Amino acid sequence: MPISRPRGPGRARTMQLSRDGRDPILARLDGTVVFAQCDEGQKPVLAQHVIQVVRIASATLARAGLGALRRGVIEGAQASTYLQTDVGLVLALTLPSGTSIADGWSALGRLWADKAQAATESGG
Amino acid sequence: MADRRVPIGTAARETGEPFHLGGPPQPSRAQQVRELLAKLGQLAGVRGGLIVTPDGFVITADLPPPISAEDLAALGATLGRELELGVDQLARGPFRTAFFSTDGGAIFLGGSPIGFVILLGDAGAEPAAVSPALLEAVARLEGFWK
Repeated sequence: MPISRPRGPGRARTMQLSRDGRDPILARLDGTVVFAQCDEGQKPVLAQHVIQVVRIASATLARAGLGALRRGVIEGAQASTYLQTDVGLVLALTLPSGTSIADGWSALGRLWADKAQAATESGG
Repeated sequence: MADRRVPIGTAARETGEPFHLGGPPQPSRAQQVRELLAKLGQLAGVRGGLIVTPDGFVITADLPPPISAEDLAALGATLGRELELGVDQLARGPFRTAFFSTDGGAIFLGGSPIGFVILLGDAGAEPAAVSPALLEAVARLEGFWK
């Protein structure tokens, strides 16, 4: 199921995503959403969840002496959310359960190259 | 009069241990939980772990020093609850496992109604190997309480 769903002029700039990927979101760790492609009503819930997970996971990793969070996977029974964080940004993408981790990282890597690097270079 | 003394080591059994009239004694639930965590600790790259209740109390822990089990339990349970809540709100199906990696290692977390199983891994811990084992361990953990 393709996830690009342009809904008007403001949504014309769609992106290529891996097959069946959905709900991509790029946010700053201060809570600002840079980019999201999901139902409007779900966007705040998704953003808050992703940012909250990154904050708590970062604190847990720091307490374990493991360093700064880079990537993560949250596996639900029906879908898994892949996330990547760097330079104050977090990017997340949801893929169907059963997707191989390598394919998940690959899809996230492409999205990071497309969205997060642009956000970093433009400073916002 | 019969001697009612019992051998050392069997006098103070753990509360809740089933009473058996015959056959080999069953391991206590506490022992089963410790063994479950010890088995997970044998996975390649796994340095230790802990099992915590949903409100952050340590059920059992086996962590490399100087990591504090209590501190990690509180954070791990907070993370686990957020993962369960978010996965449910976002309709991803019931939460199963998660892992979060750094340049030098990773934490793995599995959820169940009993609590959360949290593992610490080094750079050699492969999610493709650890996550299925964690999922299986969580299922066994639930079985101990049935």
